Formats: sequence, C-alpha cells, structure tokens
Amino acid sequence: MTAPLLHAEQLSVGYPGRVVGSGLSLDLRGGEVLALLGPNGCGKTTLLKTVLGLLPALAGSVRLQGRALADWPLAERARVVAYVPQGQASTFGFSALEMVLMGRTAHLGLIARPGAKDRAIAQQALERLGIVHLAPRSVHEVSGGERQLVLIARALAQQPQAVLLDEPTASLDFGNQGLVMRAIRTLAHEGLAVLFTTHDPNQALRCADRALLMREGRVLGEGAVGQVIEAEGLRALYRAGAHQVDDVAGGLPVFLPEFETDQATKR
Amino acid sequence: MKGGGLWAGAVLLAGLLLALTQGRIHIPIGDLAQWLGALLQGAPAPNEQVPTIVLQVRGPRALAALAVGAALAVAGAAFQGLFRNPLVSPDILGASAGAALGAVLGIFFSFGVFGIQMAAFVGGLLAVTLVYGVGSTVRHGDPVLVLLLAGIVIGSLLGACIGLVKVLADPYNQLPAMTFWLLGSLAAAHADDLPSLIAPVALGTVVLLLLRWRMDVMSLPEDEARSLGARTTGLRLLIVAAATLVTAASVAAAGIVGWVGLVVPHLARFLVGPSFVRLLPTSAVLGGGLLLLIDTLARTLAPVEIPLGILTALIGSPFFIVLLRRASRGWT
Repeated sequence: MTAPLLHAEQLSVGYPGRVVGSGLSLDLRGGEVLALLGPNGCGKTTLLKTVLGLLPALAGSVRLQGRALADWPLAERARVVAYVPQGQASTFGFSALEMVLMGRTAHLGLIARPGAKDRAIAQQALERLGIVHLAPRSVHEVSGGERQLVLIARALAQQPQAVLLDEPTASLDFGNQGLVMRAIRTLAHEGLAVLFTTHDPNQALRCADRALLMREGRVLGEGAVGQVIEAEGLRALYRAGAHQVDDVAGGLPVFLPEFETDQATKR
Repeated sequence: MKGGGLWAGAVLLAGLLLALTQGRIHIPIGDLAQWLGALLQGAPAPNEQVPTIVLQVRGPRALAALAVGAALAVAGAAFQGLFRNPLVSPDILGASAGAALGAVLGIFFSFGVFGIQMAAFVGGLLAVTLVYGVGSTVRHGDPVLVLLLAGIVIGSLLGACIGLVKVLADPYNQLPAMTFWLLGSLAAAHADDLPSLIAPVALGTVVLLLLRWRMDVMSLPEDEARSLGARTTGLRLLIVAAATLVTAASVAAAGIVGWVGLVVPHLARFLVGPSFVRLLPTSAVLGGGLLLLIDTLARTLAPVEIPLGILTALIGSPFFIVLLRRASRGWT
C-alpha cells in the first residue's frame, strides 16, 4: 500500500480553551474517497478545518506528504490540498468563471493576474464537471447544486492532489445531490484523494470507499463502507433507531431513520 | 453592462470640461480648445485670461476634486471587498473621524492651513492604527468582524472627542471654522497644497490597483481565501494601509465628504461587475469625475459656495435608496 497523502495521528481539535475532539486519526490516499459521518456537533467540521490547516491542532500531528502540515507555506499547501466549503452565496456575484479562476491564487504571484494558461486550466475544470455553460453566469443566479459544482471546479483549478469537502450536499435538492456525488466519484477516478463530511449514510455507502464514524469528538469506527455502515453501527453513532432496507436493486442496502411507521395514522 | 468603462470615462470628461469652463467667468469650450491647440504648437495663448483662470484657479481645484473623488471611491471599493459588505464606506475604520479630530484640534490650537491638514492626515492614520491594534489583540472570532466592531467603537469614541473640542472652542472664531471643515469643501484647494494630496493618493491607489485581482479572493470568507493560498493577514494589513493612506489624505484636503466612497463603488459595480480587476479602475475614474461635477455645482449653484459634504449627501442619499431597491435582487 502506498504511503498516505494525508496522515493525522492522535489529533486533538478545537479552539483555545475548548476541545472539540481528541484521539482522532485518519489516513487519506490518492484515488480514494473517505466519508466522515456523525451527528450534528460531533466535530466533523472542526476536524476537517484542522486537517486543512485552517485551525491549529491542539495536540497530535497532521502530515501532508510526510511533512508536518504547520511547516507548509500557505500557497504551497494550497497546491496540494483544496477545500470546498458549503456553497453559501458569496457577498458579490462573481461569474462562475471568475470564481473558478480564483483557484489559481496559489499558482500566481502577489500582484499577478490570471493569464491565458490559467484561463485554459479553469476552462478545463469547468469541462470536467460539465458546467462550461455556467461560466458567464453570476454565482448568485445559479442553483445551489450548480454553485457547489462551481466550487468543486475551483478546487480542481488549484490542481491539487486532495480535495476536502464540507457537507457538499447539505441543503441541496434530490437531483443536485446526485450531481455532486457524481462529481466526487469523478475526482477519485482521476486519482485525487477525496474527503467529505455528510449526514447521509446512504451517500457515504454509495459514494465513498471508506468511512470514519465520529461521535462526541471521538472515532467510533473506521473501515470499508460496507463494513462500518450497518444498522447496528448507525444506531450507536446517532443514538437513534436505524432501519435497514435490503431488497434494493443494485445490492447495496438503504438506511432510514426509524420512526413510528403506523400506516393507519398516515392515511 | 457592455461598455461600462466608457460611461465612467464620459463622466470624467464631462466633469473636466464643466469644471474648467463654468464659474464666475465663463470660458467657452472653443476658447479652451484654441488655447490647448496653441499650447501644443508652442504658440502664445490667444486669450491671456484663459490660461490664468485654468492654471491658477480652476485647474488645481479640479485636480484636487479628481484626486479626492478617486481616492474615496477606490478606498470605499477596497473596504467593501475586504469586509465583504457592500454597505461599508471608507471611514468604517475611523479614518474620517480621526482626521476630523485632528483638524478640529488643529483649529483649536490655531494651526495654519497646512498645519490643520497635517493634523487631519496624522489623525486619520493614528485612528486606523488604533483600530487595527485593538482588532489584532482579539485572537478569536472572525478577524474581519472584530476589525469592523473595533472601528465602530473607536469611531464613536472619536466622535465624542470631536464634540468635546467643539464645546471648548471659541464660538465666534473657531467653531464656525470647525463646522465648515466638517462639512467638507475644496474652496481652499491651492496649487501649492496639491503634492501633499496627490502623492499619498497616488501611492495608495497604485498599491490597491496592483493588488486588485487578489482583492477578489480577499472578498471571500476568511477560511476560503486562506485555503486558496492567500496570506490573508498580511494582505489585509496592506489593503487597509493603502486605503487609509488615500482616505486620510483626501479628508485632510477636503474635509468630510460623505457618500462618494459608498455610492460610487456600487455604480461602478453596476457598470462593470464585481471583479476588482475592472471595478477598481472604474471606481477611480467615476469617483473622480462625479466629485468634479458635484464640486462644480457646489461653486456655481448659489452666490455662496455650498459645502461639498452637503451636496454629496443631498445627491447621494436618494441615489442610494434607488440602489437599495435594485439590490433586493442581490448585490451584483
């Protein structure tokens, strides 16, 4: 097995005076998708930000290509790891192309502006995600899912080796969730390492290779999605009933949160 | 909007023509052109009056208006991007309040015109330094929000100090001078004072123009900008320093001229879109041209000069309401 691109060991994450999670370890390799699952407030986003170097680790270490994350200059790091935030609207309505071009920041000098080469790379990123038609449109005018795809394209324009996404499908409608999940698979297929947080075990099961289950700042389980995402594990993770539906075409089970399914009251 | 930059250029040209031809003595455009033509051929001016008025009176004042308008518009655009808030104006970090305190203190201690300008300039720089220092001591939270709050707090503190100096001032000699200064005017603009206005404005504007593509990235949320590889802490300091330099210099020269720094960036955004690559130069041209037009109104509209700050507010506020109604569809 190749050495992991990103390696975190015995990590404590949080803010000064407030530890959100501890004893966290994870590995991320090229061509692999890792899903981070857990209830609201379990420390998923804090862990993601620490692994990205946006928050300093309280204890433990994060290594990127074997080198401590803190030793990486900001721009150099951005050429290896890209971040896709939750796609809330930006203050100003930049065009999708302008937004994607911002992915070139780490490749350009302080007073430089993107040139023909950068435009070609941005164009390519738009093509890879099938959103060339969005290029001239304002990010205020496109749908939430399209905006998320624009942000993923921006990450691609960084020409990174890993892409980390924070709840990429949160607040997206059904169809847009599918679009984003497909994009994530495309990234891994092209050899990128992908880490994303999600609330949906079904997405993790279908989209990720491995999953890391987190509860109250600790790792509850880690492994291949087929092994760790099962009804018993989800019950422990969410402290809630989980219902498993097995007879689905395609073979993968579907999990539903359990509630009183009294067909009589429904009608 | 297609050709948006041309509109800004047209405003500038119209502003220049009106500023040079209109006034107590009207200079027909033909005379102006004749003189310029003669100047190009190295011939003597056909009408002695034209070069005297243009070079000694209207020219310097027009240059001052251009510099002040461009400075306020560029600083406003830069701060709106930096604070990710389209309702921010260049005095958000206390530059105007600091300059005003410096100026009223200068008047209180009976400094000369140049002394008052310097006191205003230094006051503006000190106020923003204080705000930045206070903001930097807070280590948690969004640094941009912390800076904004520090600016509001220090701004109101400086406002109280200005009030105190006005109460203590001689009501017959000093208070009217303070009041006029605070209302803003370019009536005192003189060719000799131009370098102390134009040098800092040019320096700050050039720095901002060089950084203008980075300013797009800086208008994204802090985490996003950093993950893209932008060194936000250093960049923010550089942008604030440059924008403060131009604001303090223009407030020192013209007093408090509101609204330009708030409204012009919106107009420019309407013309050329939100990217600073085009927004910043367009704001500079449009801001200079508009303030030139307004200053020409200020000195020709009534027998006495109308303070510039009053006119910009009278024109700016209804204008802004129109913009607000438009912006309910999102800041373009």
